[in-house]
Amino acid sequence: MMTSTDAVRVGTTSAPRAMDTPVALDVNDLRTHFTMPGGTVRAVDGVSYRLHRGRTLGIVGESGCGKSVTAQSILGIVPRPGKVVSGSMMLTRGDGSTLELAGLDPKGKVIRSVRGNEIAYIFQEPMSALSPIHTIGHQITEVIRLHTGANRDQARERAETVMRQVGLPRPDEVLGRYPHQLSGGMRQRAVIGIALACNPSILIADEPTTALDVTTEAVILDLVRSLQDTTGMAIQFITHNLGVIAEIADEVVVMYMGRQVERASVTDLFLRPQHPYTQALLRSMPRLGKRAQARLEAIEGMVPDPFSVPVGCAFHTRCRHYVPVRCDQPEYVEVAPGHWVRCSRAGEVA
Amino acid sequence: MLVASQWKLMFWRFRRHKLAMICTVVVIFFYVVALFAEVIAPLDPNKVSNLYRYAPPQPISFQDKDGGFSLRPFVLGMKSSRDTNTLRITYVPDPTKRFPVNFFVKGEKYKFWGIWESDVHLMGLAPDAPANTPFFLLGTDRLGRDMFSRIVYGARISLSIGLVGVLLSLVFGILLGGVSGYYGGWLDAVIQRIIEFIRSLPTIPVWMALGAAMPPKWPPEYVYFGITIILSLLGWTGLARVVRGRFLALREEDFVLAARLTNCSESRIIFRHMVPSFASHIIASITLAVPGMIMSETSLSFLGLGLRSPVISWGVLLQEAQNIQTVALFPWLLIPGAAVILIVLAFSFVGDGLRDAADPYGR
Amino acid sequence: MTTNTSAQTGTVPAGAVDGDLLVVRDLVKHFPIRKGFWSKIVGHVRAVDGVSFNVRQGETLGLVGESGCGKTTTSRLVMRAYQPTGGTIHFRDRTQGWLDIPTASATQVRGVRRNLQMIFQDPYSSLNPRMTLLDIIGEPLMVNGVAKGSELQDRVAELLRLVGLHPEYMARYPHAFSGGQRQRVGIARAIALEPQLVVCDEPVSALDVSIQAQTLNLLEDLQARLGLTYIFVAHDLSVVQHVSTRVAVMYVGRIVECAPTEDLFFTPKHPYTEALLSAVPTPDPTRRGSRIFLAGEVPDASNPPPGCHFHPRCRYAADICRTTVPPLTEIAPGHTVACHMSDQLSLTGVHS
Repeated sequence: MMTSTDAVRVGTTSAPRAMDTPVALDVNDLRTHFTMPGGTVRAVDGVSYRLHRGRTLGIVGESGCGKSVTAQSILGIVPRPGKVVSGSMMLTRGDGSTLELAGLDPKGKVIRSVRGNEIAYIFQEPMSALSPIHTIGHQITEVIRLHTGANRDQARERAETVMRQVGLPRPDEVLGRYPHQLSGGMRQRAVIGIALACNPSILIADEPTTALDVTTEAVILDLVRSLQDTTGMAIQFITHNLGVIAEIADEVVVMYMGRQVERASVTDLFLRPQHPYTQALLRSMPRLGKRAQARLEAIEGMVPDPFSVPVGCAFHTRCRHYVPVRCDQPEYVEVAPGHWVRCSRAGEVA
Repeated sequence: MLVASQWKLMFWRFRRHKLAMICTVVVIFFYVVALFAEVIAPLDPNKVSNLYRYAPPQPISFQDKDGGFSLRPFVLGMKSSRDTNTLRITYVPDPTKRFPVNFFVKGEKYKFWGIWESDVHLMGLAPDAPANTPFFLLGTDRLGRDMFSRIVYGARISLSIGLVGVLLSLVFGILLGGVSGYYGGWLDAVIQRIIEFIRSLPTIPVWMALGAAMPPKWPPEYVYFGITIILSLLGWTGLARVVRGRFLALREEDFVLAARLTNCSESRIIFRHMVPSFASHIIASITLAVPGMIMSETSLSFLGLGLRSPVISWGVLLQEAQNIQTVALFPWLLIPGAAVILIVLAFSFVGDGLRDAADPYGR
Repeated sequence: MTTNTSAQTGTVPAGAVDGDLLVVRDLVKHFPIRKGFWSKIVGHVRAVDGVSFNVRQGETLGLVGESGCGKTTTSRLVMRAYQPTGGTIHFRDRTQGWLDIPTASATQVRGVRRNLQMIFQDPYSSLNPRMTLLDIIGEPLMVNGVAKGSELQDRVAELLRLVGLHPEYMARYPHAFSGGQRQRVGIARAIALEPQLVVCDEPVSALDVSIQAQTLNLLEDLQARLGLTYIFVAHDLSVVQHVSTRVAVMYVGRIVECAPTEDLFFTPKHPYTEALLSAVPTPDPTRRGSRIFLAGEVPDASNPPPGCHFHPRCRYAADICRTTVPPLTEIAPGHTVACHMSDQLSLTGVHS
């Protein structure tokens, strides 16, 4: 754990791990649609994955691919007019019982007891998760007392423990501060602290480091990783940054236009990508340390309008391997153990 | 892909706002009435009728003699009788006398907008009705003047004072708010302090002082302009704040910086880039400011500080209804108040609709 | 591009080498912090605090650093969007010769602005939503009296084609376009006057991953085609490495290191550069290696630590670093660094 005393630390992030631990959340064929006057946006259209205890699942995709709506669906906070139309989200609780999140009333008692308690979440902009008019201490003890029924002193004690856990030295001082008195990195630590206050079994992190500078990002990623080692929580890590995914995830889901196009272990995905979209994304990125690069291999065209997603394979309009008819109805197939791809030409293209 | 301009988009969004559309029709209706007051009013608003003081409204009826429906509207005549206890004259409809109502009838002569002479009225009794037949759709006041005609004429003053006042305060507001927001610095500080000072003044005493400062001998049109200027002197601050806020926000926009970096002149930046970006907001703010002006005029005149008889405005008309006893006995004197409420609500809803439509990244 | 054909009337600034297009010396910008009712100045944010660099004709100078390091302020000072507190910015204008931008007269600045343009970060706020593409891209041409009427339309059509958009889009408003397309419009506006130098302020950081590469390629194509020189301000080091000829690293208002791209990325000489490079997440899970984690926070620019601003977070800091500001010195050809310990350290760069 990081403290203020060691000015600089050279850390080592651990290698990717297999998804061999018990399942914490099983998402199966989730569909979340937004019905609007201009048509229906299938923001999430048949997404399946599992979160395992002590493991990190990365969800990667561009803006509008549905990665955030997936998280919102689990938490029951899909903004109107969005609605989970089908699929299941089976949560395994601490006592071994299971709970189906799909049919729950978004404002009901059950989901509220799950949200923030068993499933915690952190968002991109730490400021929006914090109330500007209350101290950090007030906000965190409130969460603890609400979910655990602890008294004031117990909650305070727990808050101090958590703040120390997220690497905020002198917790009593930080707890007395207002969010605007903290720097971006400290704020995101505080948000993580609040998320962890109730010992959640699942943490959903939606672009938690996107608003931060790289040096702060590295520290926060390391923090998340070490917190996972101590608490054994399952993490769903959503980002558009492939570098961050490679750094933190054990398994990765790639999304494009609401659909899952590829799912694989992080090593397989980065070393043996099978879907042309994943391949193209990896190829188009400028990479640190690649000497004397010529032109980047850009993906042609633009991200389609969510109201008119191309039929069949949604990526076919931008895919250079597209073959008419054959690519019209790609199946989601397992090309290698644990490596799923939605592409009719999987295995032939590289 | 959309190729519509900002104004078209705004209009489309506005059209979706049902209530605002209805209210737009109401507002337009009121202004048409004000514009054609001479034609629409059946009688001369200043004509005194000693026979019918405090006469109640005479409803237009479409019922024929047998109780069936007839396309020919008519009003019933009126019988007067003196109450033996209170000695008050009361009027009751006389079902035996029926006077058909005609449209576009010749009646009293008037000068339309003070220019064209005419005698055609929108409604009136058939020419064969005997002289002095009552035709008071909304009753009469204490001098027997026709309330309907007075309200119609009053609309002209009350509604135009709202518009002229807002236009004047718009000039002040855009000028001072624009200078304040665009140039900033000490000028901004001074203008903001002035605005705060004006806003901190209690309005009614200031009106009283300014109203009292107007020489009582002034002819009505001077008083009219005096009142508008008083109202806009106090009313520009809100608009100035809106304009300043928009300027401050837009000054930081990248596209304004981009324009500056391509050698656009200050005036081009202001009028081509900044003003169009908030013109819609200004229009919405104006629409929301008009009812305030109308209310101010009404309250001023109601308190006897603004316009006075013989000028007819809704405030002046409401002055008649200051006495609770009169109101209790002759409730139709409050009808100008209903007109004020209606137009103020209509303007507010139109303004709301415009404001929502003006937000380019709306709800 | 024409480099030496036009008249060069101004005097060549000190420190300018043949081929230099921009020479910045000791640039300082302090923003006052005002407090209280009378807006009393209670301090200064030293956003840019003594920055010097040269930009050569035809190159791309990358300006990197974390938020608040002063890179954006520096780029805007070059554009004369702000007046600097001190220092000089000499620009070799195509027609007017060498000019000091902060002290140039209004007429001279008007001339300079035709040759000095900017691409903005946010493709949404940088285009006026009330104007069509024709108005937006045509504005610099019209305002500067280059073209009007049907000629203007032809030029705009040509510019649209140049940035890969259909000329038929001319009559449309920006809201009809995606972020990547809007950024192309912004680029078309910037190159409309065929400027010598284009300041790119984070031009791809607001774009989707799959659109970034297209945009970077476009910028490179245009550079080759029009002989443009870029100052490329960005926080994404992989992007900067890809586009830049040379890179300057900024930290709390100062340049800490400036070198040709390969030297800077493979053999950094400043501990901050080392830490920055180490922190960049690489899209390769087999490289989950050691990271340098910087403790603490970027110091507040209104109250930076004495001596080397980086010393409280530096693992190599010695006593001298706490008291004396290290000067920017050239330790290898074209490689300058501001660190007292640079000759004693052997730092790790990126892996190739």
